Amino acid sequence: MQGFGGGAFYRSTKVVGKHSLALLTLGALCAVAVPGWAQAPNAASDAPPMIELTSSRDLKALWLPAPAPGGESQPQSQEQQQKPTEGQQAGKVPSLQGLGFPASEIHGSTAEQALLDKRSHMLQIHQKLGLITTIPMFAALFTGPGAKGHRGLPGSPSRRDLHAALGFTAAGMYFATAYFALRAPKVAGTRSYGLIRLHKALVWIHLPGMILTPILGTIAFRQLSRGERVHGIARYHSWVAVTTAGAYGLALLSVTFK
Amino acid sequence: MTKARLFAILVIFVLPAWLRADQTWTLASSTLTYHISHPLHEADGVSHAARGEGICTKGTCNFLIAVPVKTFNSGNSNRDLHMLEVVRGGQYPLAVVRFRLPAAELQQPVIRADLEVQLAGRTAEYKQVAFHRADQGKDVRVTGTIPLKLLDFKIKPPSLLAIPIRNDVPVRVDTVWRLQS
Repeated sequence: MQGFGGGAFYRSTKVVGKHSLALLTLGALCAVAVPGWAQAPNAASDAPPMIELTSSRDLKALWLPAPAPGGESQPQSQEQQQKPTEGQQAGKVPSLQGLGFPASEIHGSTAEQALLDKRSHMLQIHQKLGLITTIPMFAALFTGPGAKGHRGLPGSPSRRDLHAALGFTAAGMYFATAYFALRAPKVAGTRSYGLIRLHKALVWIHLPGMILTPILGTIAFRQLSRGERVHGIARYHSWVAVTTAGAYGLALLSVTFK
Repeated sequence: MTKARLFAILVIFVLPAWLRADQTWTLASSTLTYHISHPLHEADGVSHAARGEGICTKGTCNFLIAVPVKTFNSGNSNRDLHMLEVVRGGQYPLAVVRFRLPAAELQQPVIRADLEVQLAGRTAEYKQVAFHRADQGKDVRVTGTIPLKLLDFKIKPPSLLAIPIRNDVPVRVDTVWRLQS
């Protein structure tokens, strides 16, 4: 017993009766239940003074920053997000640094956000132009038979002109669409996965197709204008055009439907 | 008699200290899943990269969970990068959830917490969000759904083919917490 709490302590407890011990026990437990009692004034302690909390709202007011008027969230700088509130300073609270996040992941960068914004903006233009391009592209497909004529006979010049105009419009818009995809900034450290890979792979079909189709179309146009039947490599104009449109449509669907 | 005194001394000096001791919970593993709805799409983005900690002191527990927004994978890199842009992930790389609970609440099978969620540089509060608690050996599994809404963070719902996604983006939370000794 001497070794347990020291002789002086033992002697002091010896004079205290059984009931007194029980009262002391009760008191100690109350001190646990009411934190204000347990907080012994100690100048050396760096713990802040206890604040009496009368409701959960008071507790919350210490912890959470004051909500914006009307319940709307307010923009905060990264520093504001990291700055501990009064309630956080009052007690032990976890911190982002304590979770082991590197500083770059905590603070972010406006340059990186600007890159993402630019990329997203350019790809949205890519998306819109790509959708609009389908109109002249498929219109050119539908006017193709009228331009070519039937059974070796040349079609009407006006239909040929319309088909050529639609075809060149489609090609022009296609390359404008491609420009915004190719020039959109890349985000370092990212890799492609999912259906976007199919979308990108189909470029290898519709890009050569969109180069070849107008060339073959021009050759066919000249042959028909001279009153000749379409011959030579120009015979493949319609096949190349249909394959290109098919690949283009599939590329469109690959980012539209899951 | 001596045993009774020893017990009393233990109760007086050791029990209060034990009761008031700090407890630290750490996030052992997690799966966070957001769900977006579009007339042409239903997509889920999943992240297992959340880190979290809960410190219980003086009968109150403060929890902090943070996840880098770039770690969410929805199965399409283009969509994930667009999501990153929409939630301003370059400038604010972390989505952060904070809440405070009475320590006794942690023992309940259903934990209701007032969450403070930081996303895209803004803060929104979700009150009385229910989480289910289940013991898993020494660990505790906590699951629930945060009813996140994009407009709460001033995020304009992104659109595909001129049709915006739904404002509601619920985030399923499946976490396993471990008490540090």
